[in-house]
Amino acid sequence: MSGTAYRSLFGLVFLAGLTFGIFTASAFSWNVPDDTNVNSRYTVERIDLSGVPESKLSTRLRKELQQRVGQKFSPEAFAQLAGRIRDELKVRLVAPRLLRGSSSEQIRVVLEVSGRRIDVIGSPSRLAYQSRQGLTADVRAGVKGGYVGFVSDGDQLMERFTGLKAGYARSFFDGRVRPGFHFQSLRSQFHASTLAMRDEPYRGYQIYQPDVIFTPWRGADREEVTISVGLRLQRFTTPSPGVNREASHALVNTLRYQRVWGEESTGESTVHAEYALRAGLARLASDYRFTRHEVQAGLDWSRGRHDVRLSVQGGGVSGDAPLYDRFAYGNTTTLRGWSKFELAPLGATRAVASTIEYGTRLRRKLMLAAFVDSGSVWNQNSRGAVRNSSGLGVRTKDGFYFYVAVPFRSGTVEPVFITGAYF
Amino acid sequence: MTRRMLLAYTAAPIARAMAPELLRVWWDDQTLRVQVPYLHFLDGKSLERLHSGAALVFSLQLSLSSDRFTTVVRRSVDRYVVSFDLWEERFAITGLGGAKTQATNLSRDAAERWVVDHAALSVSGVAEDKPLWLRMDLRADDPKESAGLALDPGVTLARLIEWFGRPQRGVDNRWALEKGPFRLTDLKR
Repeated sequence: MSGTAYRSLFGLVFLAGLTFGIFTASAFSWNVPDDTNVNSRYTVERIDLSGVPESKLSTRLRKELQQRVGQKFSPEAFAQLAGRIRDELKVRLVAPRLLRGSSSEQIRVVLEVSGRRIDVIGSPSRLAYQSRQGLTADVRAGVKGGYVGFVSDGDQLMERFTGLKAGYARSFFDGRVRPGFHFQSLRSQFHASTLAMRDEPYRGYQIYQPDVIFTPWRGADREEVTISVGLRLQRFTTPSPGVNREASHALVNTLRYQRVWGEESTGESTVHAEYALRAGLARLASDYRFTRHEVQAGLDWSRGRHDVRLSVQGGGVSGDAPLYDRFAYGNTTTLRGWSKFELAPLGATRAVASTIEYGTRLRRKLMLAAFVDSGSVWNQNSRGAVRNSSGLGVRTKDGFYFYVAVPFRSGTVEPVFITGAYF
Repeated sequence: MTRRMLLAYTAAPIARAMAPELLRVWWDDQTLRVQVPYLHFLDGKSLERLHSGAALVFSLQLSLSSDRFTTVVRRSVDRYVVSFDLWEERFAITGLGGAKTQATNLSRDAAERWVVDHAALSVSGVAEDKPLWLRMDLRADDPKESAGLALDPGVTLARLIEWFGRPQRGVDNRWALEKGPFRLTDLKR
């Protein structure tokens, strides 16, 4: 696909997302019009919040709630306030319940808050350790849309990147349009097996990334589609300055879907799918011209003591992509037990991986889990061998995990320890 | 044929004849109308939500078929918002769509009857002597589940029909009754 075609596609996705996001934001009022609820003739005597302390709400929202006291009950207005409380507290449901007031013609409104909301786009802080690639830490702290963080990650890419990141994102239209800006300043450290095959490609980089996340569709309470469109302006610090391999600017677009069914107590299922496209274009003054497609899909199913996780992911890179954009499977999440440096020391341009994991509850939050991973990484015009591994371990519902993984290879058994936590 | 089989053969039509008629149909000026005296849909969770002050949307679909619902020759969908007055403990109903119809101060039975009584299906042009089947689908929708569709005054019949076909979370929120075969000429006018 040519650069012009990509620009047109990007423009189309952006405009479609913006229009649809704004349109549905204004139309996304699920409560009935005021005149169809007979209780709209009564006056609000008091408003209470149930499930969370009122102090958790912002001063502005508390003030707006108080302004509703003494006025006629408006289902439409309370639906909007409930939506804002839902967004502010990041909860699943805020349901207004009406009770009789202390005198006739007056009612009490109780806003019942329940459940944690899914976050399809947020990436939590994490710590991870793999016995072959060492420690990974990605810790961030944020307040009111802004965040700063420290990262030293030897897991996701072919290099270990260490440095700082910061960003700011703000929601509009009931969270349906979320523009943001992200910055990372990182130093890269390459593995000996990579450097054995090529010179050090870069020593670090800065990324400036403006993006907008649209939520064009939000179904039942835990179902969302999001479209993220952004521009990654990445500049490498090269060992030999002036070689015209410094800029890797790219359009970064992601389409995500997630749905959660059921309740934690009775059995819960989650389906998620994601398609990510990165395109380095000459028109963006990028020294690298490439396209990178990656898809991921998965199902988590739990009932009683049992828990099953299925996932598949894969993708391809075409053109001249920097090492940063090549696939590094064989880490703490894909082809567990294998080393990415052994599978493809320079990263791969084609990759596919799948996971089947079964867990059984040992105690309230603790699970015993066993998995089988399969997949392959290879480069264009070559063939990749299918790799399999399996493992056993424990994990908790809080995000902690510990596995011993064994890659299936002839001759030797080399267990790899993987542990970490999301928080 | 054993005595037991003979008894079964004889008893089945009698039992059917004695069973209460769940969906009553009559014909009035080229319009089919229905009654469901034994159906109570303001009940269970729906009633709980109404007692909590929520307004619920009920959608009622009538489908007429001449071939046991392989094809549908006529269809109508009506939508109503039902709410419960906390102080007077009576129900109020507002019809959605073109002409806004309203009723207040209704008992639970009267409210249920009001919704069904206002459903109508035009049968002009339908052969009066051909066998017909009628199906009534009623569903209570939390408007947030139907993502505003049920409340959208501009929603098309085609979208509503498609929406009726979708699975719904709670089985206690959906009712379906059928009658047939019958001929228009046999119906009470």
